[in-house]
Amino acid sequence: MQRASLTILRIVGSPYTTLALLILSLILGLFVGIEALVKRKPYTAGVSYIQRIAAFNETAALLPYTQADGNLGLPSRALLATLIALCALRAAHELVPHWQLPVPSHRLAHTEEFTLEGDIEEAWERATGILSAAGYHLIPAAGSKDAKRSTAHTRGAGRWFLGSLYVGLCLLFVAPLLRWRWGWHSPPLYLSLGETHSVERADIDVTLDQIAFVPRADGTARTFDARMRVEDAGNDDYLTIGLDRGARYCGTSFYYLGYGPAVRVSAWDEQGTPLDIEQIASGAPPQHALRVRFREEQQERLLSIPESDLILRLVSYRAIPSQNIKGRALQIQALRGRTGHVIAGKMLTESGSIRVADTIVDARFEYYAIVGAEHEPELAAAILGGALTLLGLYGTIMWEPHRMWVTMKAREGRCHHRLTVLKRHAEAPWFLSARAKLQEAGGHDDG
Amino acid sequence: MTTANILSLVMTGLGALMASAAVLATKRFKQRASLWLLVSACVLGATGLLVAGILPLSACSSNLSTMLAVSGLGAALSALTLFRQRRETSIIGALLLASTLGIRTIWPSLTYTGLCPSSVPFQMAAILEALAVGILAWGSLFVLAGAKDAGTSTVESVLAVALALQATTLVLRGTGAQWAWGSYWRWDAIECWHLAACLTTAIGLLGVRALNWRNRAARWALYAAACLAVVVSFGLAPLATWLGVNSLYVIG
Repeated sequence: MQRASLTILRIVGSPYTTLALLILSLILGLFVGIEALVKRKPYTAGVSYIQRIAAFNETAALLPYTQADGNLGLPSRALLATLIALCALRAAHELVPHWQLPVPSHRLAHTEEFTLEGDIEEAWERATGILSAAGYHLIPAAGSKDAKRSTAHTRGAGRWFLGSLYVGLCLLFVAPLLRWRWGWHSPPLYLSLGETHSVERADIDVTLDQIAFVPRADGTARTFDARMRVEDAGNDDYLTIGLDRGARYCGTSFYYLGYGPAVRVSAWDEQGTPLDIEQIASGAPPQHALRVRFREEQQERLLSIPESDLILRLVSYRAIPSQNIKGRALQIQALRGRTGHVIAGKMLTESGSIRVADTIVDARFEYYAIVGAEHEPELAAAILGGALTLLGLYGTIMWEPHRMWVTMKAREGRCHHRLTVLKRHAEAPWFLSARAKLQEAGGHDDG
Repeated sequence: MTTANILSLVMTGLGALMASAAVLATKRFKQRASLWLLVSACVLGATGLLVAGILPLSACSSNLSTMLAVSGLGAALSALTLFRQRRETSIIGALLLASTLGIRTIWPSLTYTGLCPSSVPFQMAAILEALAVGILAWGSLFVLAGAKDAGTSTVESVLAVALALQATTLVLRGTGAQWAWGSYWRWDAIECWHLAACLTTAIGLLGVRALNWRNRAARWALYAAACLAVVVSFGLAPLATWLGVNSLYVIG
């Protein structure tokens, strides 16, 4: 049992295990990277994803991100659990006194042997005293009457960095599990101005209050800020989200996912009386002013004005190069409700109106925002994990831990003293100095 | 073209000339003169990039020539801090700086049509990534040039600095992604390529530090890390961005 646990500890602590994990991760990273380039490349006939997205004003460009809701399959959870266990063990080796890494295999280790005269207790005390005086912190390991073991570390904060690295990695691997267990995300919320959607899991309502959109010359967004009103049990609060900027309200995070073209349509008769408009096949009640959203998969909408017996057909275009229209355009066709004959039509490149018999239809160009709501319980673990990992990495790189495995065995009335270090430290000044001090104290080099 | 851009081009052009002069000075004159020329070239190049608006970090990650110039600065900084007494050091550093600043001067708007987020963490990540590439490229060429006494310790130093920069890059990218769309890691193609580059460097450093890789093995670890870093930063990441397989959006 003891031998098996020692073997496990040796495997866990072995640099070869670390190497195997790094290589596995590298293969995984390369596989995903290559797969993304090879398998997802052919978006129709040379049209890149960018052009496809740009062709519809980035609507839903980020939706793939929200759709990955952190669902982890059993293999992923098992892999994460293994990694967490491994990192936790390594962290424990570094941070928990008396639970030190076993002596590395002879292929990686360099060993110096001395013979000290006298009783083992006395020789051990002398040797450890010398190492302590040389600035080493000795952590005794399990031994026996005739055998003593200890690990010698340099003093100071430097020796904690490797532990910090493993704790950080551990937290980074725990984070996806927290997300999977307690996190959630809402379906994308398509919000026109003034429109309210409910985020059921957070029990709050979100209303799009205002949009600040500054386009580039090509129609894409330079800035896009959406101001939202959040209603939570009678309390109102305002949040602003935009490109590269999310917002948080009572544990629920809101992120910008995209935007798209919308039109506010209203109609009135010659006397200026507002007329009801309804969207055909939507089931929504008629309103005096209707906001219509256009999406990549639906760029045409049909509205009706029952009082005037009119049907309005709206078609949104990002651009119409054949008609030299470089920006957004909206085609409005008015059809007689009873016959279906087209009685008027107009192409709008900006907000405007169209007169159909005694009815005036007004169309205002607007935008709608796509918003994602999420609960992210893993965020604290991820932030702390990232910070500890970086801290540990910097510390380990700058102050590489100095570690010696010290053993002493009594045999035939003499004490055989063994110092083991990693091979690369065999010529390191700190090790040579420690060895020289032990030699000065009366140790005979066994070669 | 704005005055700032013209000034930037003049400064990077002068920096390229200074770096070229540093190469010649190393061959014909003393090492000290060469190092001073290299320092001047670095200052001019960095100022040129600052004037053009690298800080406050606008659209750096989508401009390949700017990224190249930052890599050149990384290489030159390595040359100024490691093995200064050797001729190869300053020659390689100066050559890399001269060529990259030269490209930046001749072709300042070598911008790929990628969709690059412009928030501060992403831009800082791009700068650190470029510096890491420069350091790895300098290290590889230095070792390749046959600096026998440099050996494993140079490889270790170069890999260690590059790993710190690449790991910071990953964390910054995650931070930027979290700010932007609430996911610090989603196995995105570009994230994966950068992770692969970082892991290759980590494997090299682990090999040199813990697995006793010496001489040839250490050199090959450095070459592999440098090659992957260059290919990812100047090839695969822009390609993946252009193809849109990273699902980012247009703001670059």
